[in-house]
Amino acid sequence: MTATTGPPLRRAAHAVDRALLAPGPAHRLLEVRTLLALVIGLRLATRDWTAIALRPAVLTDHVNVMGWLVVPPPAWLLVTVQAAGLVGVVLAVGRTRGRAGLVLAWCAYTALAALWGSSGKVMHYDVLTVTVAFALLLAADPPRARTVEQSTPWGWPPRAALAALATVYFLTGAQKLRHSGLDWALGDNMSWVLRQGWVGSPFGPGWVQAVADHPWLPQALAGGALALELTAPLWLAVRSTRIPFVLAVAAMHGSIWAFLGLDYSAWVLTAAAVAVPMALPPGRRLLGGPGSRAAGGRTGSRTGSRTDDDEVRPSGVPVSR
Amino acid sequence: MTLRTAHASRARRPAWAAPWPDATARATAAAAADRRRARGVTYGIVLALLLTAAVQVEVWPLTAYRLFSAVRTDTSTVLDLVAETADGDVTVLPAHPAEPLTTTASQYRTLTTAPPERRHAMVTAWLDLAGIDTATVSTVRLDRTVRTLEPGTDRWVVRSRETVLEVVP
Repeated sequence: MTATTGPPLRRAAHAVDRALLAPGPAHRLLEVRTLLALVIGLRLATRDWTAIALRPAVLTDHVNVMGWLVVPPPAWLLVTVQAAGLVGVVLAVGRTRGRAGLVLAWCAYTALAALWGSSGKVMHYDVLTVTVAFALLLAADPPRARTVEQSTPWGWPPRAALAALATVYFLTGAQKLRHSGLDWALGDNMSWVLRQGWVGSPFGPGWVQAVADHPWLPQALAGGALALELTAPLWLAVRSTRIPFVLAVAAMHGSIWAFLGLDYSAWVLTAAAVAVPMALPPGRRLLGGPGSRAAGGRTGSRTGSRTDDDEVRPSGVPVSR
Repeated sequence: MTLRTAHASRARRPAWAAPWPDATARATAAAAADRRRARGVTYGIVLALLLTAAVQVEVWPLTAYRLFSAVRTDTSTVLDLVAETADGDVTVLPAHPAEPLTTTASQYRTLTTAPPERRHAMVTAWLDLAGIDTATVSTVRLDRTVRTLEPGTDRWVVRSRETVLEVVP
């Protein structure tokens, strides 16, 4: 397979494929997995999931991954699932049974979030965390001992999570364009969103009203949000713009909370859990300490092929991101 | 040397020894399996997300990601469930503020197509959630209201209201 020849689209596809399969450090996989487990743990621990049991069966919607459950789960079962998920988080963070712990935590969180949202309205608060963490469920478990080796099985999972993150943000922007066109950002849309939603603002309606009454301000907010969402894959493809992307989505979701009271903090935390570690050079650990480069470590895949941390392949795409 | 380390040293092949005859084949197969898994998971997730959004399917956690994607104007149309009692009309709202209960109101639109038995059960369930005694209710109406928000105020002006459905609980 010659990656440097052929049509540009094929070359780009080859470059993406090479970047995905490039060896990566084990500590990066552990960092992303640990941070995602912590986000799941935070969501599991800070909600009263027993409210699900109060919903009558006849008002329960079954169009989701838990749709097969026809009987409303009792409160004790919901608490048991929540506890099991938190045990999984502890295992994942403690790295004693890292992958198994994440699988347990993810299953519990996904089940509870699906049941929570089974009321007829599509809920998006938890869906990004569920989708991004799914990418790590089939990842290999790195050895518990501190290793300096780089390997393909440890390189692709964080990149898969990054790809899922980029795709979700791109789709949120693409659907706005698809259903509303540029009028979504250039018209009065955002002013009316603010006016109709200000009752939810934790800071009261006065300042939301003031913002809504200056048409250029809502248009700037909408334009910025749309541009950020549509360009998410570009921001996340380059290591140096990953942290600015996290700051930008924090500002976007933070403003949604301040204006409308909608809590998308799980989206910000999930973006940070993936993009911040992936913004670091491969040889550098998130919490310091010697990395593969600092330790003078060897790199290479299971087959023995070797690559440097920042090696640039002939296509010009850095192989380790 | 402890027994454990003695076992370990005997089991470990010396550095100068030749690799196992099938070591290369096994390593190649393992690497190929790693690549298959990486591609399957990554491209599978991306394709699933794109396809779900393209065909607008909502099977959570697969969703079309339509977040605020419709343009808002000063006018909106809402469905309200109104209980007619001896004391007058009462808008049916869940007494418990938990999200899984309040968002069931999104199912009002399904009332018109639901079979009579299910429709009755749903309305009764909503009355229970709102803490309204069904014995005091003569009829429950599903009203469609078109309303306009006046600029500079938080006041909605009702432009039209029509009863879509009536259910006797």
